[in-house]
Amino acid sequence: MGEIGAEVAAKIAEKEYNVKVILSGSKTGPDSIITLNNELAVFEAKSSKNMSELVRNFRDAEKQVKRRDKAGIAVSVYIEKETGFFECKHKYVPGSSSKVNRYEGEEP
Amino acid sequence: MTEITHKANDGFILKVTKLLESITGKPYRISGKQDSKGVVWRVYIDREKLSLSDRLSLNKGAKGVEEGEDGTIRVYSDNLLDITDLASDYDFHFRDADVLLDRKNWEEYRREVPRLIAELEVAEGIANDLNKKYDTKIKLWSGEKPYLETSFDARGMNEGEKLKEIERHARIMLKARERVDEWVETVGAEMYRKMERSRMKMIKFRDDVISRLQDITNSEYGSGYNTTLLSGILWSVVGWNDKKNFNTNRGVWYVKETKEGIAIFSDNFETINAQNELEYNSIKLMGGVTAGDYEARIDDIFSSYDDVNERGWNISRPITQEEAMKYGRKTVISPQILEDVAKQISKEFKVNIQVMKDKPVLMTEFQTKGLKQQEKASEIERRAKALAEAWARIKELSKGAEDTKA
Repeated sequence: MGEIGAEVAAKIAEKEYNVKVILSGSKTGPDSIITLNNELAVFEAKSSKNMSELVRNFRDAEKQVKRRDKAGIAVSVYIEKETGFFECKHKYVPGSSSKVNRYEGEEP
Repeated sequence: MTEITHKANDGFILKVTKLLESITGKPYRISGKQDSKGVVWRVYIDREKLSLSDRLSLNKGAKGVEEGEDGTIRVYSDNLLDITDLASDYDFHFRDADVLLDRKNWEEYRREVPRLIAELEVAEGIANDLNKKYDTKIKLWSGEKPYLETSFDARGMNEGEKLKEIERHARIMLKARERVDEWVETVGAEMYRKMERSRMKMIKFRDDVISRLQDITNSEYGSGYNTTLLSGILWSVVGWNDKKNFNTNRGVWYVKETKEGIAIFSDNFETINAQNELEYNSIKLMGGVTAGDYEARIDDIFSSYDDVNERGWNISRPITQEEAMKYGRKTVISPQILEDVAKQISKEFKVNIQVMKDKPVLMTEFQTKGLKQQEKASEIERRAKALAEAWARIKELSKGAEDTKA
């Protein structure tokens, strides 16, 4: 994601979830490793320049957290470069969950 | 934070830290234990100690240095990009975020995400160029968040030799990253601008469609994306549930344009009486399928619902099997009722509304050849009104028709 977007997303997570977001030292994996509820968790963020992509990106960030098999925070931000206006969505995604089988739909 | 017990001597690791700091002018830290699986030690840039402007202007060529258990020392860059982000700019979604690890796949994806493939090729080209010049082994890792890495066999080296090689490799990695960044800021930026210009018309049109649909149904909509190569979809719009006002009209839930025409789909009528996201997603978990539903293509997305926990946090709560059984009550709509309403509405609104063959979903489509954007938008609006009316009528008819077997 854009670096400004990443910084904004990190600030949002820090404010809303009382965590410190620091860039992970690893080469692969989440955008950041954080400590949440005294446990290691992940931080995944997305930013967009189009408001209509905010929700889609939020789903992507949530999906990335889930893929890590750890609890974490997903953040999606929309930033209007010219005015600095921004909109965000964020949530805490718990770790491993009980999964239920379901039928997957097909494209019509 | 617990520090790892280094097999290497702590004094040496500190020397590596100081060396990197002297080369880059930025602070480094020694990795914590939890961060260092499979490595003896790792040192990486300490962003926490940097100001915002320093973080933004950082040369990220030498993000970290680590020694593996096999005696190999690696110098690696920060991630060049996140392929899911770049793909998102093209309305494309990678089902497998590591698919580009196999170079053979690059050509296939070039048409969908040209700027992304170009950047990977440039990064790899720079790596090869520098390898020739400096006899290094810089490699591009092209998975979900690509990065450059160089390595050397440090077995049998004394500390002084190791430090010398680390310095040499770190300096070359800084050069590599500088060249990649230069490309991103010039050629890459121009590619992005061109892409933006060509997409702007579509984005404006899509936003116009979203605005019209919102006025008709009061539902929320966002942009969708393609998940398959050469899908032929020019743009798409998908509905999403607004937590505050769940009970909106979902007569229009997915719209897509291809070269041939525009198709509009309703949500699954089995979900018509769902009162909240828990019920809605439980129905999906119990087999409710939405035609063309973007969400249905995202693994696990229905396995949780949004809630607020005791700390006031927005939380994604997993739906248990018991909850899915309890709340996943589909509304059974007889195919005959769907057919009758579709016919009725088709006649009243002078559009052709059809029931999908295998799903309780209504759809309508029209060809776009020769239509101007304004005409397309008006036609979408006209048909969306028809689908919204069908949803409203079926909702009225379906009250109390829940599947008691679910």
